[in-house]
Amino acid sequence: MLIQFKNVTVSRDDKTVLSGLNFAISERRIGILGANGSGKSTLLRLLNGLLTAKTGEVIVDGLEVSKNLAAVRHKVGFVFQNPDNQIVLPVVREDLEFGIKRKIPDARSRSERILQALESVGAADLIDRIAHTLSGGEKQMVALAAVLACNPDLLVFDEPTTQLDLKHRNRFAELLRVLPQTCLVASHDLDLVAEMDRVLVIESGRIVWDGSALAAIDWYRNHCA
Amino acid sequence: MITTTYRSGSSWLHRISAGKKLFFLLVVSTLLLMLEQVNAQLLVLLLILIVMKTAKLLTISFYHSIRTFIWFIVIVAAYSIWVQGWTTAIVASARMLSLILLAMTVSMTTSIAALMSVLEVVVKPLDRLGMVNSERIALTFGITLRMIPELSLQWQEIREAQIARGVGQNVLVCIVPMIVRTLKRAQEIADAVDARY
Repeated sequence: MLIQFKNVTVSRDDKTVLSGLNFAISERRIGILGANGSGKSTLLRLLNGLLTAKTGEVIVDGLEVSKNLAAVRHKVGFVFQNPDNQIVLPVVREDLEFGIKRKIPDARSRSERILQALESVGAADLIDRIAHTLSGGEKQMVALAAVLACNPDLLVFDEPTTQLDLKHRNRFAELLRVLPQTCLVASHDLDLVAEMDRVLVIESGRIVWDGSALAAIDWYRNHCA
Repeated sequence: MITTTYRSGSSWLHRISAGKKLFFLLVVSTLLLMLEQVNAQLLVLLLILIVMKTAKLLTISFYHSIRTFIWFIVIVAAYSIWVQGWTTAIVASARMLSLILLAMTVSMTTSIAALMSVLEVVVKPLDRLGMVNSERIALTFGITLRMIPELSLQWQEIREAQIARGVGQNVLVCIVPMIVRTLKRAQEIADAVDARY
């Protein structure tokens, strides 16, 4: 899958958040590094039209995002930092059903897809649990399953391991290795980013490093020292 | 804490459609309000208990979830005996208990998604007139139920943080951070819904 940013600038309250981004990515695993407030989340939000660029174009798999919102959202799954805000219905099964109700009208097929998605993240036993009684790690797995149930081609993760304990963080890293989709991960977790095929480093809304994971992490470590 | 009381299962009550259960709840509740005979009220209460027993709903956890209501009914009954006598007290208590058990029976055997679908159908005529968006109303209902325990937890966190800072039990100092966090959260939830819907 090809993702292209063509001269993308985003401003908010007269402040430039992203400035003239120009790049194309086709790797399967892409990491985004950067300090808090550098523009990582803004960049990710452009990919499925949660934000729109002031100037420039964001193209996902040949589709210009702002002009093909529904089609792009069908292709792009977004996993947010805080699963509490992503799980919108009280019971796990209902929450997963919510995302696919329009896409899969048949109830039996929906149930199968829900179970399949939960099984793929090793959380099938949580299907009838009440969301607010789950641990942080379990909630993150449910949030990921909810996105996988929609069968996207591209998965976008906004700091996915921030709220996870070591056990769930490792489980997530393991999952990331085997997911067949293209994955774009913004994270401060350098061990996780080290496994990416390519890493972009953002600072003050600009790409300041673009290259292999190890080189990018080295550069970032020295830069932050 | 208010949250969903739904218990997954495959009892005959689980299999009845949400619309039929809600209609039945409406009809029986109306009848209960009209019945004034002690025997009739007790008979209805007995029937509800039998229905719950056959659907295996009368569990220890169920008792725990309604014990606050039972204390409330006991207090109301004691007051009724003192003011209006035994007969009225029994009728009022049996009626209240029946209504609570009926509502619990419906909510324990009906998923939020099913209730949302019924709500969507009920407000559909208004949707056709362009007055409301039935899908949005149903979704709002579901998200509200999901967020009540989360917001309660958020309030508790803010209160504990303020107590730790030595502010004490002052509710007013908790309100501003509560509103700010809730608004931020609402934006994130809206983004999450947009991303998935």
